[in-house]
Amino acid sequence: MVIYTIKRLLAAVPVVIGVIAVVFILTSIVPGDPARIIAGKTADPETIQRIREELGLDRPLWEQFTDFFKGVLTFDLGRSYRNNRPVTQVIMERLPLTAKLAVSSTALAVVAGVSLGVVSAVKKDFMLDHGGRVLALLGISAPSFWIGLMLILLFCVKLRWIPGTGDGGWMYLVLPVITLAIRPAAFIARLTRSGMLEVLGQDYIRTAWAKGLPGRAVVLGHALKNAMIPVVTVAGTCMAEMMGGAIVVEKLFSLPGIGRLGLEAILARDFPVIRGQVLLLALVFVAANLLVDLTYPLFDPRIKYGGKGRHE
Amino acid sequence: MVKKPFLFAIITFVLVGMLAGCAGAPVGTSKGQAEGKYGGTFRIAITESPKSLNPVHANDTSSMRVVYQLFDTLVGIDSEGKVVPNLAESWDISEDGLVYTFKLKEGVKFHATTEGEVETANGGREVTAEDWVWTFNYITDPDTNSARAYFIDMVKGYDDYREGKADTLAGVTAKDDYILQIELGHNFAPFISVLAYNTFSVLPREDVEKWGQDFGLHPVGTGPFKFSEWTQGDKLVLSRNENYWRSDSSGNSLPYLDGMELKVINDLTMQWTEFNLGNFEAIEVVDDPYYHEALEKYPDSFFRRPMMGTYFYGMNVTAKPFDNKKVRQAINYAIDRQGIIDLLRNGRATPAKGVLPPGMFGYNPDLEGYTYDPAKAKQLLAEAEYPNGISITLQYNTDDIHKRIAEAFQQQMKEAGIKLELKHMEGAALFEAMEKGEATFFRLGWVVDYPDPDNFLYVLLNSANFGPLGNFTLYRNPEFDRLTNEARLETDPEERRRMYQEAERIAVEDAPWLFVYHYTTEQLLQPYVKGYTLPSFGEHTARFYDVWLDK
Repeated sequence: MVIYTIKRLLAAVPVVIGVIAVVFILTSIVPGDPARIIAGKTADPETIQRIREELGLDRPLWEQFTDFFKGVLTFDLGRSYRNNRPVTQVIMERLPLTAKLAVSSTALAVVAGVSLGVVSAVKKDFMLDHGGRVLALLGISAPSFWIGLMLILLFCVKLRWIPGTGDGGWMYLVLPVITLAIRPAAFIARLTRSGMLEVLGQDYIRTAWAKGLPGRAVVLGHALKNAMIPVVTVAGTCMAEMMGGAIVVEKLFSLPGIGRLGLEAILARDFPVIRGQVLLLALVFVAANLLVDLTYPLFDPRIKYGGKGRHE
Repeated sequence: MVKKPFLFAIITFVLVGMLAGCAGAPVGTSKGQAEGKYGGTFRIAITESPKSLNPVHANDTSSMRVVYQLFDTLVGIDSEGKVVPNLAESWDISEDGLVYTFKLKEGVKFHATTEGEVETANGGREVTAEDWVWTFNYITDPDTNSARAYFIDMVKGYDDYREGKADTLAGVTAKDDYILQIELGHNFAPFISVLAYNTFSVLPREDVEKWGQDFGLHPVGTGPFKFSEWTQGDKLVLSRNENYWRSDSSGNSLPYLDGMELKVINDLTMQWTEFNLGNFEAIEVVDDPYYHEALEKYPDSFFRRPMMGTYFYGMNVTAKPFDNKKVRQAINYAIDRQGIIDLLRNGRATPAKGVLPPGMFGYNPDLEGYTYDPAKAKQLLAEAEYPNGISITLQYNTDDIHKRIAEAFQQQMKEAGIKLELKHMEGAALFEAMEKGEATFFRLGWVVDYPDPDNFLYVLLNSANFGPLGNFTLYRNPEFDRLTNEARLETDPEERRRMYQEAERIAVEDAPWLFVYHYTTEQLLQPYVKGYTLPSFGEHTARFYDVWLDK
C-alpha cells in the first residue's frame, strides 16, 4: 500500500506540472493586461510600461514559468499583483474558511444522503420512499443560490434565528453548510438507494435474514457497507470541488473563501494568485482521489493495493 | 453664514424635487442638525474590497472611499463641486496663473497610533510644508509608479525629475513651515481642483519608508479615522483619530463616531436584506428591484442627486461605418433615452444631451442634443449612403444593467434600420479590445476625477489623448482640439465656460459618442444617521468626520 501511494504521488507530479503549464498559457493569451487594470480607467502609457516591468510581465513566458516552479519548490508562489502580498499568505488566510465549509457540508451530505437513501431502499415503494425520492430530485434540481436565498429569508429575515451573513463564527456557517450540502446529499441519497436495492436483493443478504440477524445488523452491517463505494467516490470528488471554492455560496453568504478569492483574482488578472490557486486545486484533487482509492479496501476487501495480486 | 449660491442651490433642489412630483426627493444633505452625539460604529456594506489604501495607488472607488477617511488633501471639493480649503487654509494664485502659494493649517498631526495601539513611525508629529514637498516628490517619483502622477505633469520640473535629469521636483518648495509653493511649467486652469484628488494626500515620510510597498496595507495619514485592521476580502475597520484637526462649530473635537467598519457584501440582494435586518448603517448600492421599496421605507434617509458622470457608447471614428458623421448622428437619433431611464433605471439618471453632466462647470442647459427620431435616423443613414441600414456590433462589459440597456437599444434601433449585435466581455478584455481597435462600438462610463470640464472634454476627446489616456474613439477635430487646449490655459472663468460650451457643441455635432445618460449618485442610510452630506462627486467621496448616530 505504501508503494502504491508513492507511485500514485509520483504520477501526480506531471499532472500538476501540466495543469500549471496550461494555466500559464491561458493567462498569457487571455485578453486583459494586469498592468492596465492596476493603472485604472486611464493612464499614461509610460507608467503602464513601468508597472509591466515591475510585475515582470515584460519577461518571456518560459522564464516566468521556470521561475514559478523554482518558487514552488521553496514554497514561494510569488506576490499578488493587486497588493504585493505573498500568494501563500493570501491563499492560506482564505483556506481555513473554505476547508471548514467543505468538510462540514460533505459530512452533512454523507450523513443526510446515506440516511435518506437507506430509508428509501428499505421502505421501497412506500410513502417514505416516494417522499425521499421527491426530496432528492428537488435537491438535485434546485440551484444553490435559490436554496441559499430561501434559507436566508426563512432563518434570518422571518424567524431571526441567525443574525445575518458573513464570517462571524459557527452560527453564520449553518446556512451556507446546509446550502452546500443539499445537492451532494440528494445525489448521495439516490446512489445509496440504488446501491442498497441491488445489494439487498443478493443471496448473502437473504442468508443474513435467514440466519435471523436483526434488521439493523443486516441493513447497516451487511448491505450498507457494500453500497458505500460509489458514495465514497462522490463524497471525495465533491469535497475536492468545494475546496476549489463554492463561488455562488461564498458570494451569497459574504464568506471570504477561496472561491471569491479566485473570482477577484481572475477579474484583476492577478496571475500569481490564479496560479497559486490552480496549483492548490490540482494538489487537492490528486490527494482526494488518492484518499478515495485508499479507502476502497475498507468497504470491499476484494480490493487490495500492493499485495500479491488481486483476489477476484 | 450661509453663502448665497449655496442657499440658491438648496432652493433650486427643493423646487426641482417638488416639480418632479416625488415627495421629499431628491435630498442632498441631512446637515443643519444640532451638535452630534459621540460614539457608535458606522457599518457600511461595500460591493468590492479596496485595492490599495496608499493614496498614490488608490484609483478605484472602493479604495477611494477609505482613503478619504484616512488622509487629507490640500483642498477639498464641497458637496456642490466647489473647491474649498482643507489642509490648506487659503491660497493665492499669481497673476500669470503659474505660482500657487498655500497657507497651511497649523496644528495638523499625523496619526500617532495605528492598528490598535501600535505607535506609528512618525510618532504623531505635526504636518509641515516639508511633508508636502516630500509627498509630491514621492508621488511623482518614477519608482513609485503612481498611475495618477501624470495628473500634475504641468508642475515645473516634472519631466526632468521623471527622466532622472533632476533629483527633486523643482516646482514644489517650502517657503517656511506653513507656506507651500507650487510652480507650474505652463498654465493649467483646473490645477487647484486636481489637488483635491485623493492621490495628492499628505503622507508621513517615516511610515511610508518603514513599510515601503506595503504602505497600502498599513496606511497612516491625518484623516478623521485611523487604520485599525483589514481582513482581506472581508472586513476593514477604522478607528477614531483622537488628534483630528477639525472640530465642530461649538469647538467639540471631531469625529463623533468611534469608528467605521466596511464589510464586503458582493451580492446586492444581500446588501438590501442585511440593511433591513439592521446590520448596516449604510449600503453601497440599492439594486433596481428594491429601489421603490427603499424610497417608501426610508423617505428621509435615502439620499439621491445628479452626479458628475456620463454613461455613453463610444464609436471608433476611424472604422467603418462610424467614420461617417451622419451614421454617428443617426445612431444618436435612434434611441429613446428617457424611455430607457424610466423603464430600466427607475428614473435613476438624466438623459444625456451632450458630454457634460448637469452641475458641472460649463454645463450648457440650452444644448439641443439628440431626440428620439427613428425617421430622421433612417434619413441620415440614407444620406450617408446606407439606404438599407447598417449592421453594427456593440461590445460592453458583462453586467446585468448594461445588458438590459443594450437589449432595449437593440429593439429601438431596429426601427431606424440599424441592426445591433451585442457582445459582452469582461471589463479588462473590453479595454484591451478598445485599445487594439478591435472594438469599434463600445460601452463606457466616466465619472470625473476633478470637477472641471477639462476632465471630460480634454481627457476623453482631445486628440492628444488617444488610447489609454482616455480618447478611445480616436476622435480628432482641430477646432475642438484648439478650444480644449486653450481652455486649459485660460484663467478667466467666463471665457473658459464659453470655450467649453463651444467645444461641447462641436463634439455633439460630430457625435463620436452615443450620448446615453448622466449618472445619479445615491446613499441609503439608516434613519438614525445624522450629519451626512452626499457629494455630487459620488457617494464614494463622502467624508464621515461629522456624521453621527442618533440612537
